[in-house]
Amino acid sequence: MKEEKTKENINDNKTDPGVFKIIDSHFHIGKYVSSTFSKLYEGSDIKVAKDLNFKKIIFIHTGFFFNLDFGLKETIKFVKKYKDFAYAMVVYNPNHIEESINIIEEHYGKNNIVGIKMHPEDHRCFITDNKYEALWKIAEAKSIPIMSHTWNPDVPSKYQKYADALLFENIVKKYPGLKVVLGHAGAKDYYYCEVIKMLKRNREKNIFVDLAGDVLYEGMLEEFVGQTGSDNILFGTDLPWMDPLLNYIYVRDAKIGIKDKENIFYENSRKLFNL
Amino acid sequence: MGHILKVENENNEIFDCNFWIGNNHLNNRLSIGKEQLNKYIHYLKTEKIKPNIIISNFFSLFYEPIEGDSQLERMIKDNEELYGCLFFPNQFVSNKNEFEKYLIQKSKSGFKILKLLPKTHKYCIEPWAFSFFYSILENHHFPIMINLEELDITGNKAIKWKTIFEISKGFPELPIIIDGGNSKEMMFNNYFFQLLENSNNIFLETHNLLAFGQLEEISGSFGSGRLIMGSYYPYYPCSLSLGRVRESNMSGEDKTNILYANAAKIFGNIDI
Repeated sequence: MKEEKTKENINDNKTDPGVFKIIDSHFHIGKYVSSTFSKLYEGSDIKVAKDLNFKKIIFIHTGFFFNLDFGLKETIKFVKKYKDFAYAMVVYNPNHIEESINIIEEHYGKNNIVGIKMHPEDHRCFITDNKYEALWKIAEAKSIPIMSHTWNPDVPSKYQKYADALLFENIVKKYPGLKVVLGHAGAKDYYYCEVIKMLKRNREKNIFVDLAGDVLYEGMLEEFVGQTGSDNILFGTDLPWMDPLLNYIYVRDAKIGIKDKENIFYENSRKLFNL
Repeated sequence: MGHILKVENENNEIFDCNFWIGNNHLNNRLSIGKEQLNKYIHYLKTEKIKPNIIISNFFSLFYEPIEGDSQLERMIKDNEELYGCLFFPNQFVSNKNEFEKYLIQKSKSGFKILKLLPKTHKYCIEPWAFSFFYSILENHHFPIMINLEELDITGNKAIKWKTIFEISKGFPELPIIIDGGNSKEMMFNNYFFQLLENSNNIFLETHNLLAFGQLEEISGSFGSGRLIMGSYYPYYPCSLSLGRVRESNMSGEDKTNILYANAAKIFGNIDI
């Protein structure tokens, strides 16, 4: 007789995608020349997400990083196609401040647009640069969550230095009402340990991390939960940069409690983005 | 049925070709002893999987290969589940006539792969410099494993793919396994398509093939015969690379190939 799958025995590592509800808070659509995207990708991403019991995705169109108009148009098109499933972020480009602010003012809260994405690496702009001031002001005033690409600055890719997660510490001190998600948990090669220390120094601030990307290190999630709790951790895949099955297995099989997994897979994103 | 379809591979046996053990002086979390190894074996057995684990020793990587591999030899001796991954000792560059004897002796002790670390251990693996050793290895069908980061000649992810191609062309019976290490470049299939298209003896160890549908795409284009599972524990959780294959939508035959049969065939062909 087939054993009934419950959340309690999910730690037996038996596969059952129906056990946890999931929000993927870090999902990409669109093309990107320096990427892993291949001909298999487009069209199959949503199917795969639904097979894994993702109830919602929060996506960014990659074109948005390079052209605000194009990105906005494609974003709205996608959201209309998958309106009960797909939620979006608009991009703040520090090199196009006025246009970025106009888009936020006009579109946040409409068409399933639930947050703002910033990408210091792609935009080659340090997080502490004054060019982000307009973003902090509007995001704090309107309580809009911001997700930033963050990374270890000490890696071969020289532009990642712009995206050092630790730079947010001074930002949230100056703007304590900000809600910031450190994309990829600031991580690569154990930089997450520094991120954990920063979170502990700033417990009263609204700093979150997501687990998107090739940062699925042994013990990392257990360390985050053990040191900072699970309320500030969001599930994300970084699809198509990552196969979502890997991110799913990583959280499912982590040595943390069921409630922690529920928070990470679903509840934290639902509350933060008001879904 | 969708993307998640747990299908047992047909014989429930695996080869994990990239498991690390030993003290890691850079990070205590990465120091792995027998206890963790036994936990992994126990985990596999509770999943009804027969393990075959190819172990690399941090001591061979950081201190010295002959010392580290001797330590490992003592561990794997008389244990049918454990095998070793040799690191090429650079002293053979100036003492090359001793290499074959060394290789034979280690092979008989249970070592199955020879790792080449040209950047870290300071020797040249281009065919013009290393052909003496490649000839011996090819003669014995003894596979080599090359970490992609060792071919990052600039430190800025400019990988010297040509080296792999030239080794493959010059020594077509020599199995060459690419180990991605921590290299993100492993996530870009565009690099591999050209290599796989132009060779029959290049294989990809899977732990860093993380991109969406990447395994399926390689499998779909070249067959699943070019993929070999490695956990890369303790860097990644043991279950990650294994689960990625087992819980995918690939056929049972493909899963068996990736998890077991491809490695078994390579190691079964070792002629010593």
